[in-house]
Amino acid sequence: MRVMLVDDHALFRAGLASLLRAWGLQVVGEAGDGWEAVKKAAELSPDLVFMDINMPSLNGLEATRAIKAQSPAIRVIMLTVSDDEQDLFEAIKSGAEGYLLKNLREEEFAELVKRMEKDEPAMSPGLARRLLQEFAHLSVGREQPETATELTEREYDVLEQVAQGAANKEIAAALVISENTVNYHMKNILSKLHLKNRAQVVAWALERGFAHRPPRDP
Amino acid sequence: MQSAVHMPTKRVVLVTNRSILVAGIQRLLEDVDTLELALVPHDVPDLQDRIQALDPRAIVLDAQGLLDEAVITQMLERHPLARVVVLGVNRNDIEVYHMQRVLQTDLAGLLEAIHGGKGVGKRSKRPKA
Repeated sequence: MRVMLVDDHALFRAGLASLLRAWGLQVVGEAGDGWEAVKKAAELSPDLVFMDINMPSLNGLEATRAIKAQSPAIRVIMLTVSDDEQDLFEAIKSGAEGYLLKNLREEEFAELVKRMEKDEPAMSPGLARRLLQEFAHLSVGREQPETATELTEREYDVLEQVAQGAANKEIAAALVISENTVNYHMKNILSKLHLKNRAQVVAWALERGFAHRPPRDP
Repeated sequence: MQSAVHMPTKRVVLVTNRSILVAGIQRLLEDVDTLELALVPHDVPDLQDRIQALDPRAIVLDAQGLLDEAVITQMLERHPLARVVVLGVNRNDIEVYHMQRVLQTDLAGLLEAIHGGKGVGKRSKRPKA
């Protein structure tokens, strides 16, 4: 996986590059501010960008929006000291596919990087819960989900698991299917609902009460 | 062919809290041939004794791992010859406690803070098998 690092903390960036290389990832570029990040993302086309939020000139949220606008396929994961909820929500709205705090322990980060390599979400523990709570709070009462008639029953099952924060491996175990099958259903869900990434699927599902859907009749 | 720059090895204790900052710094410092790196976990009850037993010339730690600033004071008292170098993810400076405070933001600056002078060398890479 080709990775680009964006952070104005040069020493943190150097250390992170060293860690990622030791884990077999290819660090193709670095940037110290948002403007440089946008320029280098266009030049280097990384698969993944680790993006800090608080940077001079153009901050990480603005840089994320710009990168996603010019290259939607590039995945952006925020890696920041900010555990401010507004930054978290703005990052997801800007198109970030994950949000990690810099106080992560090495082994937690290693595990999350492995999940990212499988295209799974990356969220520091606790933040996923806050995101889910916020969207649940935004939905009015426990409405019945809007019927997205184009989704199959199995796709609904997967959607329910995703809304509860489950990773693909957990979904596969819960539904007794393979991870490849989960990936297949997720691709169909994204396509049918015209959504860009898993974070948007979570938001869509929560707005429609999927995390609290009553069990179906047998 | 570059002439080798001979520098005496300096023992550095890295107080590790397993954060990604410290893990990254560890890998960077392991690559420097003028440093002998020793790791001590930040949460052991005999932290100061363990550091003292290693007799380091520099102690590097993450500000996040500090319980309070009394830890730095204790370190300075017990290791008067050592530089105490404090790093943090949320600021772009390195605090060096050895009669000075410097503003450095990159690896070269960290190494200068540890050595207290100019001249550092990177560990030569092992030849591929």
